[in-house]
Amino acid sequence: MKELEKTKRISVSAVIFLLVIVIGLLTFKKPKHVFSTDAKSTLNELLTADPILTSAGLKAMDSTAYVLVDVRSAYEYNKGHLPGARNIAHNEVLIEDNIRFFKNLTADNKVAVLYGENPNWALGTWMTLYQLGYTNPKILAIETQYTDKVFIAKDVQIEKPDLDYGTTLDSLKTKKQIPVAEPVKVIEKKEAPKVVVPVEKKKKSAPEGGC
Amino acid sequence: MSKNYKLKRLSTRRYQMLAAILILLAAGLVLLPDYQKHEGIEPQLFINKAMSNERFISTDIVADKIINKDPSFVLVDVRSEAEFAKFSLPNAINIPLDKFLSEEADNVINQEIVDVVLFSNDNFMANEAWLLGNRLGYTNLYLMKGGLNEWFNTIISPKMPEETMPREAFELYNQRKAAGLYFGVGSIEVPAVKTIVKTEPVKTPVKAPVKVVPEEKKKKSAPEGGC
Repeated sequence: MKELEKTKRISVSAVIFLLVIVIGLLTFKKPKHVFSTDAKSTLNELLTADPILTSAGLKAMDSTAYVLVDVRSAYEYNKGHLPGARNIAHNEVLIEDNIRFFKNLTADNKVAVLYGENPNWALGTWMTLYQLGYTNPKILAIETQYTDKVFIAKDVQIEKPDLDYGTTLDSLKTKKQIPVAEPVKVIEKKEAPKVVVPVEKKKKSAPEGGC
Repeated sequence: MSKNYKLKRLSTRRYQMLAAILILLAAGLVLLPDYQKHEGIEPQLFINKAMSNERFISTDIVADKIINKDPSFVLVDVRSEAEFAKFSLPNAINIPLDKFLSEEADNVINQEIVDVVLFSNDNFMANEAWLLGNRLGYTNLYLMKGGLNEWFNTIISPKMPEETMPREAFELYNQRKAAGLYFGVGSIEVPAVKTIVKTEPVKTPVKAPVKVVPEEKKKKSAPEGGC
C-alpha cells in the first residue's frame, strides 16, 4: 500500500508540473512590435544620412517615388493638409493598417515623407518607424499652420542659428552709458591781461657784524 | 512476491516515462521562437513620450534657474564643440550629439535626481538627443523650448511689447531685461541730464591794472653777537 501511495503522489505532482508548462506555453505573449534597431545605430543614421528632406528636394523627386504622410491628428488634418497627403497620426503608427502601409512602402521602395506642425513632431514618428526597422521615411522641413481658415505650409531651416552668437553677444555687452552733458555753447571770457609792476627789490644791507 | 515485483517494475517505468516527457518538453523550449529583447522602452510607450509636451522648459524658467543658481538642474549643449567654444549658456556642459550615447555622457545624462535640460540652436538636434535618451529609458530629460534662437529672442534682446498689450507682457519684458543684465547685455539706461550754459554777451571787463605791491620784508636784525 505504501508503494501505491508513493506512485499516486508522483503522478499528481507530474500532472501539476505538466499543467504549469502548458499554461506557460499558452499564455506566452510575443510582443507585437519590437524595436529592431538600437539607439546607437539610430544615432548613427541621424548623423550620417540626414533624414531631412527640403521642399525643393521633394519637388525634384518623381511624384510616384514618395507618399506624403501627415502625422498630425485627424482633426488638424481635416482642417487642411498638403495635397495628396495621407493621415497617419503619430499615436496611431502602430495600428495594423498603418504598419502594413509602411511595410508596403518599404517593399515598393517608396519614400514616406513625414510632416507635422514642425519637423520636431515629425521626428518623433520618424524615430519610431526607423527603430521599428523601416528605413524609408524622411522628414519634410516645413512648418504647417492653420490660420484664418487657410492651411499654410512654409519652409524652415533646421538648426540654423539666427545670429552669430559669439560676436553678437560681444556687441551687446553692457556698456554703462555715462551721460555726457553737452554744453550748448561755451564762450570764453577774455580777461584783461594783468599788469605786473615789478617792484625793485631792495638790496640786502650788508651784515652788520662780522669778523 | 510476484505482485510486488510487477508493481515495482511499473513504477520504475513510470519514472522513465516521466523523465522522457520532461526531456521532450525541455527540447521543445529550445524550439520556441526567440524572445526578441530590445533595449530601452517599448514602442507604444516611446510614441506616447514623443507626443507629450512635458519635455519643454521655457527660456524664462531656464534663465530664472541660472540666476538663482538652482542646483537641481544641469544644462547640456548638444551642438558641436566649435559652436560650443564660440558661445554657450553659463555652466553648460558640452555633449555633442555624436557623443551623446558614449559612456562619459551617460554619467551626465542618465540622472535620477537632477534635471537635465538639453538645448541646441533650435529644438531639432536637442529633440533628437531627447528621443534617443528616452528610448533608453532615461528619466529627467528636458528640452529648452526654442533653443538658443529663442534664448536670444527672449532673454538677450526681448521685443518691446506694444502699448496695447496687457500688463503681464510688460512685466515679462522687464523681467527679461533684468535677466539680460545678469547675462551681461543691455544697458543701464540713465537719462542724460543736459546742462545748458547760458551765453551772455561778452563784456570786456575793464579792470584796473593790478598792482602787485610786495610787502616789505622786515629786515632781519643783525646778529648781535659776533666772533
